[in-house]
Parts: sequence; structure tokens; C-alpha cells
Amino acid sequence: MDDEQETYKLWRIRKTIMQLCHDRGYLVTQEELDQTLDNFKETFGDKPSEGKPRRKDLIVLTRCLCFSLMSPRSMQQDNIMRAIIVVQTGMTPSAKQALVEMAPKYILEQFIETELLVNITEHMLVPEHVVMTPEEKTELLARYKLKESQLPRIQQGDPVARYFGLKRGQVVKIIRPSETAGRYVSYRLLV
Amino acid sequence: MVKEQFRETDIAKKISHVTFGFMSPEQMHQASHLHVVSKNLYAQDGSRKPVPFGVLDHKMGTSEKDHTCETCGKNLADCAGHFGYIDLELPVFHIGFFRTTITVLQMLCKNCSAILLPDDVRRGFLDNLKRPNLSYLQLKGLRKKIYDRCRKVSICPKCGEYNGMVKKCGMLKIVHDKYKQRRGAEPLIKEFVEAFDSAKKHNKDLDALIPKVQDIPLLLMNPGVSRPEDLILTRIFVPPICIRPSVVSDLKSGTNEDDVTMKLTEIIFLNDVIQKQRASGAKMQMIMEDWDFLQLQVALLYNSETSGIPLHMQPKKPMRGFVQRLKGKQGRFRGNLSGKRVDFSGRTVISPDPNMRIDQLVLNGCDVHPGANFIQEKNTQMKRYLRYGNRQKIASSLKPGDVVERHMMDGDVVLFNRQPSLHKLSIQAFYAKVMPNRTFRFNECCCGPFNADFDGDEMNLHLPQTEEAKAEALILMGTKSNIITPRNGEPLIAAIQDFITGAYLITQKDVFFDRSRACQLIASILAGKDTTVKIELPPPAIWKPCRLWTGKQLFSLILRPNKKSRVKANLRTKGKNYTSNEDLCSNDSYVVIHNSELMCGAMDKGTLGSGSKNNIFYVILRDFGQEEAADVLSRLARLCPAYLSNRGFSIGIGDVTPGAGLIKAKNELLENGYAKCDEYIRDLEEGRLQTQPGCSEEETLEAVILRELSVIRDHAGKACLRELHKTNSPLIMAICGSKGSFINISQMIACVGQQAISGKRVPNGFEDRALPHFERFSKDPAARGFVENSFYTGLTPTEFFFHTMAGREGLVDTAVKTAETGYMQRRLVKSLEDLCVQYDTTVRTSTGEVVQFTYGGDSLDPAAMEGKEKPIDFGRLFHHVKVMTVGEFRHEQSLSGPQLCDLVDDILLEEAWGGARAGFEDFKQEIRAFVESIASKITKARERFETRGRRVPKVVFEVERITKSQVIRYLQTCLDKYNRAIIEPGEAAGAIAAQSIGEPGTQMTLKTFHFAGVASMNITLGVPRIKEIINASKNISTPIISAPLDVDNDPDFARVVKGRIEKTTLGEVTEYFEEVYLPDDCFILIKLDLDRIRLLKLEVSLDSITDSIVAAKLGVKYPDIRTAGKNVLTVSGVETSKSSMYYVLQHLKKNLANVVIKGIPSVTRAVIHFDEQKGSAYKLLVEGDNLIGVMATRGVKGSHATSNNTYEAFRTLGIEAARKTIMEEINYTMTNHGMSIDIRHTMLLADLMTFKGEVLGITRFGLAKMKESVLMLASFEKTADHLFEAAYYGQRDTINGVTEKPPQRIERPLLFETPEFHIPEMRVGQ
Repeated sequence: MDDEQETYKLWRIRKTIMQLCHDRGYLVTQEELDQTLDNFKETFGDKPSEGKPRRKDLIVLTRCLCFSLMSPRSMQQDNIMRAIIVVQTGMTPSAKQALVEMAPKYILEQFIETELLVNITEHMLVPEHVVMTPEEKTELLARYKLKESQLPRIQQGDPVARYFGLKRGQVVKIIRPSETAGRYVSYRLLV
Repeated sequence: MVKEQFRETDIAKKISHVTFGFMSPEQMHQASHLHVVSKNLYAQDGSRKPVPFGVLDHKMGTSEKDHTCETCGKNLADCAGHFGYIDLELPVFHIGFFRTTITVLQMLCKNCSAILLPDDVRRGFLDNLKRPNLSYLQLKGLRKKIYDRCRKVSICPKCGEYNGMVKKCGMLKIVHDKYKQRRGAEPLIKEFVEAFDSAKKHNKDLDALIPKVQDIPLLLMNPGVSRPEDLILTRIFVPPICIRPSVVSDLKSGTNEDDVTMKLTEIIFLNDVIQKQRASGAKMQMIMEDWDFLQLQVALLYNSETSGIPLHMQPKKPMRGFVQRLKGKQGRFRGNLSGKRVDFSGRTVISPDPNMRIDQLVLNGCDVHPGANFIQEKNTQMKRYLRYGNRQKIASSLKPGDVVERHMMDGDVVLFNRQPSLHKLSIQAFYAKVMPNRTFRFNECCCGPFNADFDGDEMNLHLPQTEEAKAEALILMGTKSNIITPRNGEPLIAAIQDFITGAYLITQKDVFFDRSRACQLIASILAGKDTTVKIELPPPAIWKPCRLWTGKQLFSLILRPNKKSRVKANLRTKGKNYTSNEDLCSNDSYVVIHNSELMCGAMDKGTLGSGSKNNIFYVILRDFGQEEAADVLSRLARLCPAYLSNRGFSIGIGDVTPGAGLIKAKNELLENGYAKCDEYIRDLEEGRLQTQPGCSEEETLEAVILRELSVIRDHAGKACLRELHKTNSPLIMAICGSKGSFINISQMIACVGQQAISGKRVPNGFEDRALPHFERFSKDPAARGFVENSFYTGLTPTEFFFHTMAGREGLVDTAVKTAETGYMQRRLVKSLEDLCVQYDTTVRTSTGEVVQFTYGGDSLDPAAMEGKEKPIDFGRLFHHVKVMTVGEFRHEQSLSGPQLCDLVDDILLEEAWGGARAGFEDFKQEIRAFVESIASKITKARERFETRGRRVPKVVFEVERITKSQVIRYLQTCLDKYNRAIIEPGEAAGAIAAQSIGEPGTQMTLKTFHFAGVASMNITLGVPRIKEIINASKNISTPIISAPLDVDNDPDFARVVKGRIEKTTLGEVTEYFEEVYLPDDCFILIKLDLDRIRLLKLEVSLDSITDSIVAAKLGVKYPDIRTAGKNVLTVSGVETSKSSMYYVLQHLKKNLANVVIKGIPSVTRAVIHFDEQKGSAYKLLVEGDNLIGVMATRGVKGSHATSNNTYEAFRTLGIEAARKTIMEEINYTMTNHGMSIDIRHTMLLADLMTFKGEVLGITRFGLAKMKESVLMLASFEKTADHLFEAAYYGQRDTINGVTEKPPQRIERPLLFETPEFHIPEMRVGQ
């Protein structure tokens, strides 16, 4: 593969991951968020084909969230409970099964590289999603006198839900730009 | 007339829910009155008496008038009927539950009846099941899960018995294939199996086993109402006689019996046979055969369309089983529960009558009118026919409470309806007026909402019976309340055809009347309600040499006949033929109405007709109320025909005869067009034709020729407009828009034009030509369906044939379309019917699930929108308020720009403008923006004069004059209008949205459209596209991704990105592949075409190509590929055991050409699109379904790439993006066909399709995931399946939807927690 292209790709993925961590509320420096391509090349090198950078070098560690191809064992050693795995192509079914089996203790989320080349939350069709706290959720349910099951829904596998790493029962507040009202707030429950 | 007022029934019982389930034999016994045993219907002695204990025993009710029921003693009308039962000699499967029976057996151990689940899994599932409030859908999902899990278990965890496969075997038999898959089965077991084969075959042992089932909850059944053992029938019901009446035939002796009766006798007969055989010890074979037959007959009784019946057993004639009685359009659900036959209705042909007001309807008379037919006395409930008998005496003895069935009278409220009833305006309330003759007559202005014409259309009439019904009908369904369509807030009832022509002619500049003519004409409005209206003729426009009034003055009079009238309408708008300079428009087509006085401009379709908000009636309606609007419309409907019939307006051969100038112009046009086409054809032949992006040369030629030829007709139309005299009738009609277009005129007079079949020129139906009259491969205009003659000159035979071809296409299209849109409409309505606006501004389903938190985002009613999807047209209202109050506030100082802004800001801070309603802030913002634009206008005007002198002349303050009081009045009106536009809680927003989207669908023509500018990118539009969107199809017919670029003004950059996206194969950039055989080596030599690579701006190198070849699964490895020079690659093959070197090379040679060296493999085509309107913006249009791939491509502005496939958007960008895509796609399709639909309707539809977190289609599958109610689903499609399924789960259906309520006679299904409104009871005669 073309080195230039490859570096570009890795830079983009890393950038999206940084934004993702930031949006999930992890501590990410502004510097890392704004990293330019040149900057990236400087830090990590621009010859992926020669192992500069190797994918392994790009591990991001922000307070107990990591993104890498680390082995589960090293996760155990480092006491990491939650991780995102970025893979080049789809995982084998048995690998996926393994992720599921680790589920209650270690939460592993899996993304494909192409999914991360563009940050979908910046897409013009995707409105702003804000994850609500349990208190806000109960307040919402009380305001509209709703049962949980009566809220509109969003699926677990939804790209935006995966981006935010939502768990079942969480509610996202969706702030859409609206042609009629300027701004229109809606809510969705993760099922 | 005063029928009993409607009162909520005071019974103690109200249906709160319906539970579905099976009946056990014991329950059947309890519910029955009779054990039916006799196979005979009637006594054999010829007395025609039903045999006791036969299927026609009168203990089960009666079907004849002269017999009463023997159980309850009531007569035919009052006896509800009683059930009987038949005991089956041998158990049989229930056909509706046959599949379910199999699944249940698959889930259970056939030895101990325990569920086939390991203990821990079983506990897990049980925990799952204990969750309260599991919804119906969740239950279904769980069952599927358990079922899948059970199928994996083959050894019963409880008793250790081996369980084999359970499957269907032949017709209505189930086999438990216990030993099939067990390896090494001993012969002993085999013998054992054989010995019991027949016994096992029918799961005889089942009966003994199943009652022991402990795990009923795990089967997801509801033990209270449905138990697995009842899946098998041992006893069946005999339904009451009244639902299967026997008909006494007049022609032949005997009776005709219902299918069900016959089937039941057959079953009893078989029962007897089996019983006898068993008693006499007949052969097993015989009994088996009869058993099979019994099984079949019972199956047919339930569902006569059972499939898979062996040929010899098939019933001779088709019959109606129970399932058939329920399902389909005529079935119980749709035919008798959702819709019923009614009394007090009528139907006849309609005809127009411009003398009626728009809210009036003429009915035909009868014998003696007014009169009465019957009298029903209160006490006796007896009806007396008034044609005979002493009417005087009866009249004098009338008592309070008696009901007189009188004739309809003038002023009665009636409902008037025309099928197809596509939207709520298809049924409206009118005031009746009884007159002679036999048709329904109404003002033709009301044709629009009904889509009626008078070519023989028939319409229906209903007469509401109670005072409440009348009042409700009048307020909610009255024509006057329904002038506006909720689809987009435009008026549907407006002037049409002759009224427009008349108004156009009377408002021409050269129309003058003397006093007598003016008075005579204006007097024609004195009729009906206006009979006594005072008309104040204004001063004449011309005094000398004689006093003359203009037509415009007369027109002003119908708006405001006298000074007392409060109608002061104001309108400034461009007409249809507006040129420039506002009121100085050379076509007199700038309409200015100033305080109801027509100052300038001729009225035309834009200012009078439907479908425009610049309509004068619309303005009056919004500013002065429906009553005034209806009055003005009625006056217009009287004045215009009066003027038109006096003036005379007709059409003759002279009107369509072209003059010399026109003929010359047409010939010139044709010559030019033909010359151009010839040139294109020559270009093609010589290979000089510049191809359009993504097209072959042939396609390009077709496209340019088609464009050239279709232009000819338009130009001919323009030439007609130029050349024809302005008194030409067709021309007048086309100009004012009353009927016909310039194309129609051009077709009559000049040139019929190109005939298109599915958007292309006439195809070659013969060998390489359209008709045998032409040369092969001819591309001439005439050879491919161009008609150069006009209808006046007449068509040549070939032209005529082409014309009929295009005509046929149109007919077929309409026929196909009506069926398709009808079904689409039904689906839309079914899925949206129960959505309604609640008091907390949410839109919810009948079960309380939220679909929208605020209706349309701002809680405004689409019907009340004055601007384009906005509640107020600020400019018009501002002008209106200014003009209305111009005299009133004459003394006040005019405001300057900054003063105006400050004033408005102050007012907007007042309390009345508070409130946190969604969208209200936005509204205030819009007001501010508008006021600022006015302020800047004022400032600008002042500045122009201020610079010149020291002192500002007074007259400057008159320019754009606006005073404080006027501003206050303006803002107050804005606020009032906004508040009035807020949607009312309880509004059936869903049903209206469904109708608003479905109804325009019926009007869509033409199947495909071209993408603007790019000929090759055809996208599906019209009904098929709408269908695709609302079905949520995963594979749409023309998926296109539109990808804006990072650098959008550089065509080279666009080409580079295109190269990255579009699939390029090795073959496309290779000069040749060559097999090379050398003594010591053999390989394939690939010579690359470097020029081409450079031209296509492909980013490939020999290295990347090598990588691609290796990556392609051809068995080539890196060492096999060598580079020789900068454009030559050699690939050598490796001999394997399977194939020799030669074949390997052949294989390579064949497949190397298909190796993808660049781009996304699934993208076959990408086109660079240049948007001419937006200036220099290049973007890519990519065919295919790989949004994520395109987004990730370098150079594409990933955050702006969109797909037109909703499913694709859902997968890559999530549910919210899918919602937005649905809205935009529906909108795009509709605007392309010239339909405007308020965004709130599409928004609601998109929200409904996405509120469950996935994109659900408006189909039976999507609907089943959206709705819980079994009754609702059953009334839609697959009636019987839903009912059987619900019975299995023991589903409990609460009654709160729109479909569920009417059959249970519960009123007002949509209002949610609203208090009941009771009208105090009125007693007649007290």
C-alpha cells in the first residue's frame, strides 16, 4: 500500500478516536484533538510499511480506555476494564464470541478502520446527541408521564450509539436543527 | 327529525380488553346447548322439519322468519343464536395451529413432556419471563429464542430420552423421526420402530403426554386461556344457525344450505363411519383412511384454502371456511366491523350549478314534498306507512317521543362524498336544497376536493340523524371549514374554468360598461343570501363623453358590495404573465387589491384558482373568515358566467387555423431542429460527438436529439403566443390558466411534437427500426416518433401510430398507478391512523408510545400556514395592516428605522410574548429579522433625501410610512395568528399526514426523471420511488451517493477523486495481455497504457498494481510478478497438481483483466457533476451502496456525503440520519412532481418509521413491529394468521386504537384523557 495514503488513514483514525474519547468524557488534551497530519508524521513517522508507525504504537491510553491490538492478558496486567479494538477488516465469528464472553468484566468494543475514517457525529445528517444522566432521565419520564418503554428508541448496534458506547437503558437527548422550529429536541432510549 | 339524542350507554359493563385463547373441550361443552349427533338435516318424511340433534336443530337459533328459537323463544331478529358441539371420534389437528403444533412438539420431550432445555438455560429464560409488562413483540422474540435453543437439544435433560426430528409429513401429519440421526442404530430398535410405525405416525401417544406439560410458560403460552393440549381438537363447535342460514329456494324444491352446514354434516357422517368401523373391527387401513378424511374435512371447515391437499381428495367446489369469512375486503373485519352499510343515504349522478352557494347542494324531489313516509310510535315501536290510512287522524294523535320519518327539507345538513375517499375533504357537509329533477347539483368550485367532474360521476349522500351529528358535521366537515387542505394550507375550493376565464375577461383594461349594463351585470349577484344586499356603485371611471364603469370596478364590488361590508382585502402579487416593473407590467399582470378595490392587474388562475396562497379568496378567508370568503366566491360564481354568456366565448375551427406567419415560424423551427439533429447524427457517424459523462456515444446522441426535439414544441408554443390574435379563445384560456396550456395550443395549431415512450424516443419494435416504413438504423426525427404535423393539419399514418403508442403508455400507466397508490394509501393510513396530538404537545400512538415530542417541532397546524410552511407571511400581513389602518392613524408621527426596531424589541419583551413553547423563540426571531429589513428600507429611503438639503422635507416621512399604533396592531395580529395556528390537542395528526402523502401520490405521472444536468444518472421517481421509501426497501433500484469534494472548484481534483472511488480493472488500463512461451520460462506479459492512466488521473503505480494482483485471489504471489520497464509487467504461473502450466496461464490471462487495481470494488460508476446554478461546485455522484467507503475516501468531504438509500444511511450514520434521509427523499420526489406537502407530514411519517430504533417499512412486516394490537393487525392483512398467533400466546388486547373501537361501539377513539362533553338534554314537546 501507498505509505502516504496509509499514514493519512492512520492519522484520521487516531483523530476520530481522540474525538470519540473526548466526547465520551475522557480527558484528552486539545493538542491531541487538533493534531495535524504533519504533526502526526513527526511524532510517529510516515512509513507504515516499514513499521513506522506500527499499529501497535498508536495505542491511546486515556484514563482506563485504550484502543489497540493488545492481548487480553496485558489488559489484565494493566488492570484495564474497557477497551476499543480497531480492526482492519471484520472479525471472525469466534473472535466476536470471545468478546461477548468477556463481557461483564471486560468491555471490549470493536470498530472497523473504515468506520473511523470519518467521525460520523460530524456528518451533516447526524444531529447532536447528548447522553443523559439517570437523574435527567427520571426527570424526563416524569415530565411527560412516560414509562420507559414508551420512549422512542435507538438500537444497541446503531453507529451513533456505538460511538458513544451507550448501555441499555440510557437515554440520549437529540438536538436537531429543524426547518420549522429552528431547534427541536427529542429523546431516544437505548434498547 | 329529532331522533334520540346520543347518550353514553349507562351499562355497567364496558369492554376494556379482549383476550384471545383456545377453548378446551370442557369449555365448549359449557358454552353449548346441544350435542349434535345426527347427520341428517331434515326429517325424512318430507315435512321439512329439522332433525332433532342435527346441525339445523332450532335449539341453536333460527334462520327463518316463521320459526322462533327453541332455546330462548325469540325470533330471527332478536335471537343471537346458540352453539352446539360435535364430539370427534378421533382427535385431529387444528389447521390454524398446525405449524404451532409442530413447533411445540419440537420444543418438548416426546417422552416426559419436559421442555428440551438444560436446567441453567431454562432458569435463565424463566427469569426473563418473569419480567412484568413484557410486550407482545418481546414475547414473540423470546419464543423464537427459546425455540432456537430447544432445537439444538436432542437428549432430554430430564429423562434422558433421545428426541429426534419432528417434521411435517404429507398432508396434515406430523412425524417424530426418532432414530433417524442416531448412528449405529441396532436392528432391534429398527424392528421396534417398524412395529409401532403407524401408531407413532399420528402422535397418538401425544394425547396421553401433553396434559402433563409443566413448562407452559416456557412455550410462551398463557396457561389461563391457552393450553397446549387444546391445540388438538377432540370436540368442535357447531356455530349458531343464524350465521349459516338455510335459504329456501323458490325455483326448485328443497333448500340451499350454507357451506358450513354441509361441512358439518359431512363431519358427522365421517364420525359415524369411523365409529361403526371401530365397533366392527374393520381393517386398520380403512380406519386410517377415514381418519385422514375426517382430518381434512375439519381443516376445510376452518380454512377452505388449505394448501397441499392431494388431488383425489380436493373438494369439488370451493367453499367459504371460517377463515374466509373473516379475511379480505369483504370479510368480517374490513367489510362488517370497520365499515358498515347504512340507512339514510343515497347516490346519483352529479351535475354543476353555479347558482348554488358553495355550501349548498341540490337534491331531487319526490312524490309530494315535503312529506313523510313512516311514523314510529314511541310505546309500540310500530312503524306505520303513511301512504295509506288516515293521515289526518294519525297527525292529530302524535305524541311526544313518536318519530316521524319525514322527507328531507331545505336546510338539512347532509354529508356528501365521492369515491375514492382519499383525504378528509372527500366527504363534506352541505346544506340541502330540495328542487325538481334527478341529479345532485352543486357549485363547481367544490369539484376540487372531491376530484369530481360531470362526465357521469356519481356521488353519495348521507343524512345525519341527531342534532349532535348535524352540528358536528357542520362545524367539522362543512365546506366552508374545508376550503383549505391540511396538506399544505392552500385553498382547494376556488374558482375554476369558466369563472377564471370570466374574471380574466371582465378585468381586462379595455372592458367598459355604461350604467345600465353595469347595473344589470352586478345585479346578477343578488341571489340567495345576497338577495337583499345593498350594492353601492362607485363613481364611474370615465365621465365624458359618457359615464363608463370598468370591469375592474365591477370585480371590486363582488369583494365589497357596499361601505358597510367589513371586507378590506389587500393583495399585491405577480400574476401568471408578469413581466417586470410591478404595476407597470406590460401584460397588466401585477395584481394590486387595495382595501378590496382592484387597482390594476387582470385576475387569473394565480389570484383566483386553487393551489396558491396569493389567491384573493384565501386572503379574505384568512383575514376576514370563512363566511366572507364563501360569500365572495358565490358572488364570483354568479357574476362571471353572467358576463361570459353575454359576451360570448366559444371555440371554432378558425381559432386553430395557423396564419401565414405562424406557419413560417414553425417551418423555420422544424428546419433548424432537423438540421441540428442531422448534424449530431453525422457527428456520431464520424466519431466527433462529445460524450456526456457516464454515457456511451449512442446514449449521448439520444439525449441531445431528444432535448433538441422537445424544445421545438415549446418554441412552437411560444410562437403561437406571439402570432395568435389576443381574442383567440384557446389562447385566452391558456393565458389566464383556466384550461389548457401553451403546449396544448401548439399541438392543435402548430406541431404535435416528439412522442416519448418511457422517457425515450420510440424504440425499435421491428428489426432495427420503429416501423417498416423507415430505413434500418434510421435516427431521423420522423423515424423515431417525431410528429411534425398539428392536430389541425392532421397526422400521417406513421405519426398517428406513434401518437397512439404514447397514448397507450399513458393509459396503462394510469391503470397500474391507481391500484398501486390505492394500496399505498391504505397502508399509510393503517399505520398512522392512531397517532394523535396530546395535551403535552407530544404525538403518541394509542398505546401511549411517543412518536414526536412536539408535533412538527413547533406544534403548528399545517392547515394554518400562511407563508411557506411558516405561520405568517410577514410581508403580506405588514402591508395589509398598513393599508387597513392608513386613515385611522393619520395623525401619528411616522417612525424612523431605529425607532421601529426599538419599538418592536420592547413589545416582544412584553408578557404576552413570553412563554417557552417550542419554536416560539424562532418565530420571534423571524419577526425581528423582518422588521429589521423594513427598518433598513426606511433608513435607506430617508438617507436618499437627507443628504441633499439641510431640512428634511415633510414628504419624506410619507415614504414607507409606519406609525407606532400600526406596529402595535401588526404585532398583535401576528401573535393572534400564531396562537390560532397552534394545533389542537386531539387532532388526528397521523391520519392527516397519511392522507396528505397518499393523496398526491395518485396524481403522479411519469415513472422516471433525469438527474438535473447528468443524462446518464437516471433516478427512479414518482410512485415507484415513494413506494420504495415507505417500504424501507433495502435494495432500491437506483442507489446514488452524492459526494461533495474537499476542493470543489477544480475539475482535475474531481477526476482524481473519481479515480479513487470508481472501480478500475487492470483490463481497462492495459494495451494488451500476451502469453509468452520461452524455452525456459512462460508468463503473461501485461503492457500498461500509461497515457490512459495519466488521462484518468489514476493513482496507480506498478507497485500498487502488483499488490492488487497478489491481493486478487488468483494464486499469484509476489515472486511471480516482475517488472520489465516502466509499463510492462510479467506474471508467471505456478503449475499445480490440479492443472497444467498451459491452463494456469489461460486462467490467468482470462482473469487478470478483471483485477481491480483502484477504487471501491462495488462502485461501477461515478460521474462528475457540475452544478450550474451554484456556480463552480463540482461534486461526485456515485452509483451504488457503499456510503461508508465513499465517505472514507480521501478528497471527499466525508461529513457531507449522502446516500438516497435510507437503509444505507441507517447502517452507516444511525437512525437519526435515516430519519432525515426519509424526509428529504420524500420531499425531493414530491417537489420533482410539482407537489407541495407540508414538511410536518413527512416529518411525522419519518418519525413513525424510525421511532422503534430501526427503519420500519409501512408494510405488514413493519406494521407488526410497530403495533401491538392484534385486532388492528388482523384488520390490515393476514387476518387469520394474526388471530391464531394471538390465541397461542393468549394475548390480551386493550381497546384503545382507532380500529379497535368502532366495532365495540366506543366513541371518539382519538381523544386522550379529554373530559366528556355533554350537551344538556333537550326534550321535545315539553
